[in-house]
Amino acid sequence: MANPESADYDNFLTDLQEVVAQRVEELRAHQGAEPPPAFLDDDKVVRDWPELAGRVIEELR
Amino acid sequence: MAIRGSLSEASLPDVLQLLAMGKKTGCLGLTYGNNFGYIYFADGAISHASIVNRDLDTQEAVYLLFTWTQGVFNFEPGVIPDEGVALDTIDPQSLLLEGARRVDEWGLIAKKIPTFDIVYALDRHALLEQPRPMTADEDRIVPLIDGQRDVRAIIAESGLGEFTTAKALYSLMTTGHVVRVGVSSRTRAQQPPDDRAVEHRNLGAAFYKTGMYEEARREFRRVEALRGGDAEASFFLGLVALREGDWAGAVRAFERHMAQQPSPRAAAFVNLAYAYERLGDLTRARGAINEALARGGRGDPVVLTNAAALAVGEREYEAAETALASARMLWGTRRPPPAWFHYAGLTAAMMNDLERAIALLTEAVQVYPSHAVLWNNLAVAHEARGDFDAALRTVERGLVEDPTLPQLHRNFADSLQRDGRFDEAREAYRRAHTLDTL
Repeated sequence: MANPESADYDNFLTDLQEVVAQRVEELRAHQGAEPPPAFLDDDKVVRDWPELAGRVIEELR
Repeated sequence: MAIRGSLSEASLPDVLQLLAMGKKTGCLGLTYGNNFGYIYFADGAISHASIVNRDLDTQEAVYLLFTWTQGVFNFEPGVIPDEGVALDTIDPQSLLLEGARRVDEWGLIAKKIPTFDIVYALDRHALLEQPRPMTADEDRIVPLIDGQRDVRAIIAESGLGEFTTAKALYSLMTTGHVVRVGVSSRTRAQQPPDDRAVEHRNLGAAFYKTGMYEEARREFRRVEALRGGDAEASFFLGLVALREGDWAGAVRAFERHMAQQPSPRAAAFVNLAYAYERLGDLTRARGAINEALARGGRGDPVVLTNAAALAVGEREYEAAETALASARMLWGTRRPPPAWFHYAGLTAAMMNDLERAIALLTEAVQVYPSHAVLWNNLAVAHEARGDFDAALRTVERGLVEDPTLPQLHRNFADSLQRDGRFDEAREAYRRAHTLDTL
């Protein structure tokens, strides 16, 4: 017999895939577009998130 | 910024008053020999306190911490108690008087009860010869003083807490109704190595949480030594190395963790990926993040955000966008953390979708106004879109949050230059250059 919780999760993943696919489709309009020159200048833009807590996982999971 | 000092130079009451007056939120960690305690603050009030490996409520813990007159303290702003911990709202001022009284009394008690390993017995002869009325606390501990239990066991079984139990015992000793008969057989040196490893592990985790990384490393190394290797200790040693910017040391520690773990979890691979990224080895970083995604990371928004961050570093913006969209879905109604907004805004801008970049970063600064990096990149997005007034206002707001970020000064200088304010612009360019070379 199918597990209802597992079915819920499968449905959720299907929804997720649809939303991601939709978003990627929207992005096609911008595909291949050159970034604005200001965003190519490392003296103007911060690229790496500076706080370690935002980049690592501090618990075993 | 963390505040660190010596308890012999600034006493705990002084530090508490300072944090209360400043209405601080964060965690004050204190060490005294091999002991470690912490006090959490929320807007200047004590919300929780504890001493590692001791069973004390918040008030009792703070009173005991008052007796620590040596050692170091470290205040880490922004750190909050773990979920599920009982929270209070206690004005530190209200504890000072009772704390001072207890410090004086502890001084006397400690002369008669120097350690909790001592075993006492009732002097039945004295009890019969010189009977005296007992207080409620004395009544409670008398049945436990049996020549077998040590002070630690009496404290645990009486439920009265360390101070009240020790005070009642002291009183009974002073009147000659209780005598010392020895020390418990199970002293610390005789504890099984695994018990000691658990104590060191708890200490290490508490030190790590409060930003005391040197002390945390010492404790986790002890765990590794006692157990001849320990996967969890290696994981935390990797985190300590990351905190200290020792990327190669972090790689070694996480690889050691993985060698000890039959099925390493996604978190270790995310952290290993970050260490490789900082070492400039993007190929190995990609390999580690792919492992994290394969080990349950596709259902974890934090892992996906980290995968996106790496993709941004690789200039793979479409891959970054896909991972960020999945992460946002997984967060559902919960608000993503500031790092997610940062990478989402940057990715949109790099794909020349400035409208979306501005929308994302505007939302970000409303929710996380203290993060100057978000203000900076929002200002650049306004500038790229030709909205120079908004760019100037945004950069000025960012400088309020962090006047040391060189990119903000550079963008400020560009705004001034556009406005024809050349002298001010020159000065701002100079500041940007100086800060960048620090």
